[in-house]
Amino acid sequence: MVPGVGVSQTLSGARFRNNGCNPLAAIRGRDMAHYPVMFTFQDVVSGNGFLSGVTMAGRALMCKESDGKWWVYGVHPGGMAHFGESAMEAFSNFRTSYRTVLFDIAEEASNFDAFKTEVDRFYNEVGECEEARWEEALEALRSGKVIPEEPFSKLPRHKPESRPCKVQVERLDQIASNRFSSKDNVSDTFELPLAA
Amino acid sequence: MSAKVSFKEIETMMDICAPGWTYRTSNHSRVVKYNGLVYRNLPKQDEIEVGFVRSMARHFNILDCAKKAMPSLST
Repeated sequence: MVPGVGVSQTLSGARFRNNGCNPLAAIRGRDMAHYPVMFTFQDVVSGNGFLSGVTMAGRALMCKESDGKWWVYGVHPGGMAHFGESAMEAFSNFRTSYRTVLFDIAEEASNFDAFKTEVDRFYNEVGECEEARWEEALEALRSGKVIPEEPFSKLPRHKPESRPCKVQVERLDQIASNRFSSKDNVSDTFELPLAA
Repeated sequence: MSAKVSFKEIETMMDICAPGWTYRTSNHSRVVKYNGLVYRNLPKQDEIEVGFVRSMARHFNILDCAKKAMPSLST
């Protein structure tokens, strides 16, 4: 266990490690609302001697911080964040930053297997703090403690169970061309969990 | 209002809160490692938005220590 990490009880009864997580921030009100968002990205990435397709269904937490900027904190994948003047700008910047992380991993990987291993690690390395905050924000949304404002109120909503976290890393340059299909295309999605 | 800290301040905080941490510079960002974990998008600039540091500290489970070492994280 990391020194200084303990366990504390929240008002909702959920237990979180007391490592500086602040799950209750999700229920402070409209201005401090934390939004648990779900998204899907699909990218084609050129690497050292390979071409890869990366399709990822992820989670992030979005909020307006005290600096007045909107921030997107990655949960799946966890080791990244980005910001913007508006919620949509922040998400767009997060999307771009995610792609550049894939590019960096591709540059550093000597072959496809190394690339796949590192992308899997990047995706699955989740800070327990952010995961706890995402769950707390989801509970706040479901209980009605957070009422989404725009643009979140306009987002499509789906059950998290119908959008499981996953990453798929495929080697495209070894697929016979007659196996490619337009059915494999995946559009970017940006969604809010269904409240009930 | 823009809340930024210098990379030097981040280094000092990490030395206190994440002994053994390392970083390298990739094409697009700094890649920071600590305790078997990797934070992949710390900006390469000298002045860095506090939100990135907050995110990295959460990822490494050192936020309490980081807030003490870097009071601007608490705001």
